[in-house]
Amino acid sequence: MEDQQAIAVRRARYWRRVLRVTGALLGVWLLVTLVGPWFARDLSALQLGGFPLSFWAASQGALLLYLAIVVVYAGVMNRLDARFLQDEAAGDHD
Amino acid sequence: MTEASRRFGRTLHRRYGLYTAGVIVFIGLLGWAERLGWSRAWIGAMFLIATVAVYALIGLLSRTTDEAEYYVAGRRVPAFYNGMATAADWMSAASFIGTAGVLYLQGYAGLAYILGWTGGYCLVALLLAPYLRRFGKFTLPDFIGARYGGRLPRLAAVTAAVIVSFVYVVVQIYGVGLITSHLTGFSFEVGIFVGLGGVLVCSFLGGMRAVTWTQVAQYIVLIIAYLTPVVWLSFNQTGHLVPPVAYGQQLQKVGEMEQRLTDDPKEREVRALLDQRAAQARTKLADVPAAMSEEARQLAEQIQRMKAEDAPLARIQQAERRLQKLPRTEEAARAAYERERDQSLAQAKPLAGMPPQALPFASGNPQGTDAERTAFESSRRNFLALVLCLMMGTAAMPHVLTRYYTTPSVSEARRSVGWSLFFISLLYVAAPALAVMVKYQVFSGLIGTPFDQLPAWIRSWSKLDPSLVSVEDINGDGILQLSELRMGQDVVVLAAPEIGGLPHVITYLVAAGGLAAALSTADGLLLTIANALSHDVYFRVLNPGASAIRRVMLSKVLVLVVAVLAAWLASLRIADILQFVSAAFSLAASAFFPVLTLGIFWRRATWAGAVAAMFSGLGVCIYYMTTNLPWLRHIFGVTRPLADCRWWDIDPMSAGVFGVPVGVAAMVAASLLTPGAAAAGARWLDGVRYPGTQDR
Repeated sequence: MEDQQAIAVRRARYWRRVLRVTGALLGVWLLVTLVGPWFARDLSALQLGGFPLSFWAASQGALLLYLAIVVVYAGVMNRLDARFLQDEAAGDHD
Repeated sequence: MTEASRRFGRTLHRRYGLYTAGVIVFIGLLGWAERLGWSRAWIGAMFLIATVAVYALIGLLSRTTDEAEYYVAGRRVPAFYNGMATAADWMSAASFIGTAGVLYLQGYAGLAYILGWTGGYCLVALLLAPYLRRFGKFTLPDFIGARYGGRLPRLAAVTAAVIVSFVYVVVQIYGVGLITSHLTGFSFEVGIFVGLGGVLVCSFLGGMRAVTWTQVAQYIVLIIAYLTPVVWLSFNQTGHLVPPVAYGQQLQKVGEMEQRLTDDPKEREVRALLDQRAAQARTKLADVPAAMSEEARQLAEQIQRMKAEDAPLARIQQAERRLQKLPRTEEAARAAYERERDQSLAQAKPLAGMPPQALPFASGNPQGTDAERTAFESSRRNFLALVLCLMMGTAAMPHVLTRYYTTPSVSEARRSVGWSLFFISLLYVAAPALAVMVKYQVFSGLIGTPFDQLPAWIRSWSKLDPSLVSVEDINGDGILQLSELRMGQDVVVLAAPEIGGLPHVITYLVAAGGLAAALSTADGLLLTIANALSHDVYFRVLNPGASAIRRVMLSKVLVLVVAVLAAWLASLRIADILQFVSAAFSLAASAFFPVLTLGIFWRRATWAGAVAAMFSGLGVCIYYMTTNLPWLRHIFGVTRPLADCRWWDIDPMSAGVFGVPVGVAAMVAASLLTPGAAAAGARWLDGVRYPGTQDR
């Protein structure tokens, strides 16, 4: 049986990583959400494939970034979870 | 992933692959039938009967009384299919019918809905879905009840879930009624109850299991229905088959036409006449009874004169109809004059009141006068407020969050959010494209047409409801100007195939897609309400000894009762779709967002904090709406001037931006004033935060 302290350390380390991943991706999310619309009027002057940049960003660009955020999160977290469970299994066998 | 779940996945792929092929063949057959000369009514009826019958059949085949099957579809739904089901659950009548309409009428401002309804899934993914799945019970109040303990948080959560879902379900059923009456020619009220039958068969018999598998089928119909006209229009207009890339050039052309239409002398003439009309309405409002008799006298005189001059019969009849339709009472006349004043003023603005399609915050100008600068700032602030409200509301909608209970594991739940967002984005990327291409079609094909050669869809839609489409030759030149055409937001998508000159079968396909969107959302919502009442109130609070079968039966009865109640309310036709939906999102965000996220990420959050957060958040939100929404002000007799009730000039629909911070503040204050969670509570939170049995 593994001692309580080792479990606590492992959990704390895991949760720190979760918070770091979540915080970083939330930051990206907030940036994408606020910056595009806030500077929309200024971005209108720029063009992208026939679109004013502001219109393109809010109708397609932001959506792509949102999807990327969710996919990256799922990938990173699923790996983090798998490693946690592995460590736990290894700890139990000690 | 186990071998059994892999086999299950393959079975699903095969079945839904066949189903999709079947849908396409069915559409092709009806297209062929149309060429053979089948009547429109028949094709419409076939679409209605066939789709509702398929949904009902799936519901019938997945009927169940088993508890885990009924509440969470046995937790066997793979990420890919849960993504599709969530997308159908999510995209309501408002998304399907309303979004492109708002983009058509309001341009850039409509993109707030696109951003809000997709970006919200980042919050769902990062803050909620995996933790809810790891908790692994049945409902949202379950989670709140387990996290905070005690009855009050659970009951508060039930109350909020029922309010939010009920507001939202009424809107869906309204959409069902609108589309069914359009498909079949039944009256609106009959349409509601026919559509309701389709909803009920499904959620009544099989609960979450039936709803899930029907929603997947409904997603397939709705996405085919939405993308077909968009791709078709894009090919017709630009020769490209990929609308998101192709409509850039259409957007440019629309911009050039807008410039031309703003300066066009005929348009200016009509706008001046509309301004005069608004001024006249104002004079009439000063003395209503005199204006009423004067109006009747003038019309009668005009008819006499026209008869004497041998004017065309159509114009005489038009005048006679106007005479008959004059309001009888003073109250009705006042309302009519007020409507005339407001509509004329709105229509008298350049481009019939539509801002230039691609210009953000067009109501103001950052380099202009003080008033223009203020308008610009307020418009930008309101845009962001609406976006944030819709996002936080997304991460608080009970019917969507419960969907993440149904995946086999936590990692599948995370992947499933990705699939949900992907399937939702397919529609939301297409919506602005559709709006721009419809606008191009209207500007290039419709404006400038002589009145006696107007296409048939204008007549048929304005006959159904004049607020959807109406035309009037204001300057009497016999030619349609943009300022003489008024289009409602709900008609843009439903009439898009007719506007673009596509075959009728596509028109009915779009209607069937809208029906699928409304039905799937209504299903999910009804189930959420019924489960909250039967599981959280009856079982958890009133009668903890009740057997599982009894609970499931009670839930079924409640689905029936709630559905009939909602249908009755919807038949009163209260307000326009998108407004109500935004209100539901603000309410959901204020009630749930602080409790759910802080409950997971802040260990110190307590029972008292949760109750304080839910009541104060919801309270502030409802207070702001009551003091700012005209019809609520009227009901509650609020007399304080509207300007004093505004906070930072934020629209009442976005009241969630006040509700959420107040909820968070109340949560923090009340939690710090009460003792922290006991050891049992801390252990429970560990179970939700750290991977365990639900992750394998």
